[in-house]
Amino acid sequence: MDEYSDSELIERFRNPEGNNKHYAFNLLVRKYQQKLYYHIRRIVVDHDDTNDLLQNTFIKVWNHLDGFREDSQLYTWLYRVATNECLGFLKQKRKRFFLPIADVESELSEKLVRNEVLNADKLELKLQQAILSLPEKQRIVFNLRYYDEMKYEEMSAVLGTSVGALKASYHHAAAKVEKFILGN
Amino acid sequence: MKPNLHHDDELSETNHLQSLSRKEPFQAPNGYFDSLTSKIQDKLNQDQNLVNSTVKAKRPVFIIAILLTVCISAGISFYMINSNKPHPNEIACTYDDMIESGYYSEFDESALSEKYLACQPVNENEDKAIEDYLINNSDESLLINQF
Repeated sequence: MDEYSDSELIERFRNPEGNNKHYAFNLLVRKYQQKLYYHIRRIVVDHDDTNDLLQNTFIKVWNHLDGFREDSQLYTWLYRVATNECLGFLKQKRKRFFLPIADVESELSEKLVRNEVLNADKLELKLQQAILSLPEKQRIVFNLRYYDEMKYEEMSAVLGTSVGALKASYHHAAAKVEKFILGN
Repeated sequence: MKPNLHHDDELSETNHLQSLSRKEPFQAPNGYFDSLTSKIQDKLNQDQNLVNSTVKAKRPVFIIAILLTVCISAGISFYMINSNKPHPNEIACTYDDMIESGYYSEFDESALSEKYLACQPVNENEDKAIEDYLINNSDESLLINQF
């Protein structure tokens, strides 16, 4: 499925053969579904929430791909849309239940402990709890760098933050996570 | 364990973190990715149907709204055009203003003369002076011919 480059996928979506725009879009979904799923899942933890957010992300991509200007990479744009969906979701959650940030994080942490499909031993569970204790944006920076091994330049396009600030953020996040693991 | 492609140095101060495997901590349910494209397509179709049915259901409302908008716009533009055109009593009466305004053609000269005369105070001395002037300076033969 990966034989199509991003620009080929965009071209196929915009000028579909035999008017089959849906087929072109399915190719795009299949190419990026796993990466985006795990990116979202690491932020919101719960699978059902992830499922909703991932579908909303792809619906937004469908609606706006025609207007995508290609001055950034498709890959970073998709991450940006998904990240914004997640941040909006967490914000809404706090507003709806009048929760402070710490309560949302502790709720996510509880979900993590209950999570039967968490693919981790005790130490890895501790790592996930440590990551969840980070502020939202720092957590996203840490995940993108640690798990997705994304370049800082690409992260900058995703998060709209300077490379220098991202490097500092990752450094601080890593130190906090290390401290959390040692402390527990 | 994933190879450390970018950041061996970055994690040099965090031994525990560096020692952990960076495998994906979460798992998706079995078969989830196989069915995702069809779920998204269903949702896209639902959204499209929702838009179409809303437009259909609301069509009379849309038409009424459009008609109302057109009527209100026409009324406003009519009012704006007429409110910008000054009333004859309000315009500055230079010769050019009158020509440009187009009200020049609307004047009734005899009515204006009557109004003007009615407003003038009667000055008996002036009338006497005119009478004297006419007696002293008019050509009698010409007057006779006139009558």
